[in-house]
Amino acid sequence: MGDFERAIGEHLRARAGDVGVPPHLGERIQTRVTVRRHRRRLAEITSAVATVAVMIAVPVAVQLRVEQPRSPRLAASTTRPPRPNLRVDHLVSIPRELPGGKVFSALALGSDGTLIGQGTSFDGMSHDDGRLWRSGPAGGTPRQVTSAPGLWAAHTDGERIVWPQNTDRRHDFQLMCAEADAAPRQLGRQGVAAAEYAFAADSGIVVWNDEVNDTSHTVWAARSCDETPQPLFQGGSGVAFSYPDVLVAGEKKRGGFDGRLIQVDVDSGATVPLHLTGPSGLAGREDAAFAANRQVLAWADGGTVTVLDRRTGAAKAIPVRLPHTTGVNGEIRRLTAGNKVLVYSTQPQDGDPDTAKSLVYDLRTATSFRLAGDAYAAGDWFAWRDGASYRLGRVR
Amino acid sequence: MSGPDGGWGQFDRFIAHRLPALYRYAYILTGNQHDAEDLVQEALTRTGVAWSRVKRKDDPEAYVRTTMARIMANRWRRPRRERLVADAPELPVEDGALDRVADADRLDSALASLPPRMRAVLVLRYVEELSEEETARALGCSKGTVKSQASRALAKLRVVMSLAENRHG
Repeated sequence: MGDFERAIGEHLRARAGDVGVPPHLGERIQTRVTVRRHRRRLAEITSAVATVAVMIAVPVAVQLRVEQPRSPRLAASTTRPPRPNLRVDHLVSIPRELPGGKVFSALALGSDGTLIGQGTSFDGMSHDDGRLWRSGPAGGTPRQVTSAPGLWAAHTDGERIVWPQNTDRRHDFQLMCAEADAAPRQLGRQGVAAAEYAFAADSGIVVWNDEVNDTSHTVWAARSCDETPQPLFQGGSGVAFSYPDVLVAGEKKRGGFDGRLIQVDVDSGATVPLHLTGPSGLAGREDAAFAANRQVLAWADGGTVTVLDRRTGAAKAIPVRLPHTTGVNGEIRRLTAGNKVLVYSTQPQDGDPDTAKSLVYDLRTATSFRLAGDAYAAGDWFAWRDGASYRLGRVR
Repeated sequence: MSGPDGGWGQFDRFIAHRLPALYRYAYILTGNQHDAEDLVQEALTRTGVAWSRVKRKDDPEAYVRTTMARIMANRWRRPRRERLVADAPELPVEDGALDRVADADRLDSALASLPPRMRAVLVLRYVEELSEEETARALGCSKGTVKSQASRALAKLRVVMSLAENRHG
């Protein structure tokens, strides 16, 4: 340790020397422990009963048992048919228990039904196994794809999996890419921006935003893990990708969405500005969660979801309140879009993954319902957590 | 288990005896009293919920400290977008920064500008004096990440200190 490092350590120690504990902090902690233990016991009971209910009911098409808005958690354990129902067929089960003892925790669903995630355990704090696992429409226990130290997000289109990883000193993250059984490759050298929407894969093409501090907001594209990436658009950040369209939010010079929304064809590079009408624009929504399908772009922030019809430019706020979870680090928020449904999921950062909550919005009927646990939509596929397994099926 | 209460009486005693030290540690990690309170509260709550599974109940303090460092580190792992700042964050500088450390307020604001994970790495490496391997284990990341985070943190601190020094002539 050098002198400068030692001085930093001494300075930090010295600054804490005279801080006193706030009044009643110990009592507040004991109260929180009691409340959280109680909630965990309730959640365990709910999960066990709900799993039994689904096992009894497995038919060709499944009616999801859902947690109704504004109802107690235990309501999910009843056999009363939920309203509304989402009909799902080609249903498979993906056990969460992984070789080695960790539990599979999903990160993303591909439009071909590939479900990817990481191994986690929770004993008061979460421990990730630093490995990527995948399963899919055939069901069955996920198999390991590769190691991915520090994994916090990933996306897949079935052909390839991409995820941010710290690989060098200059960038927080570079974008890693794995396909088939080949070793992972790094895509480009400009880094990848630190946001879940900053990278995506669809129909064999990967797009991503480079690290903001390095270049001026460039969206890149690559058609394989081996290909040299090409710049696709400058002056904005890609927020969602539904082949062939990359939805790009215009960026101010010093950062921050400027309100513009541009649709970029990933094959030709042609750009089309989208003029939004309705209550909500993109300005200032850098921290929202985004998702797109062939028809819509949606974003979730401030407790609501807004859906933009890409053909007409009409944006409307869905009249639902999003579920939320709390943790000292805030919450992980994911928005995914299938052909027929939007799914919003939330769980506490670094918290118990079994406390995740989701809201499913049916784009055809404009109805929504809540689920206990995380859930995902892509293409025709829908996956949701059901106790000790994930369930995956096609939305009818 | 140490008794019919599942050892929770032991947990209460642990809080009563060690909260001041843990709170100070949270303060070092966060740099302000409000965040320190949130951090120690969350870490001790998680520990209390998992008390029956915390193996070394004779020394749970290390567990709580690791929990706090992990919580801080994960604030960075799932980050919000970075914003551009007026001053370049990394510039090569001469290692003449030692004398400038005496300016405590300036250093405080430089430390406050670091992402949480970088600060957690600094605390584990230079306050706890853990090795790179031990720090990586505590934060659940690779040794390379620890090295790069420490290096970038020190570079940022040196630049800020240097710029401030230049402004003051």
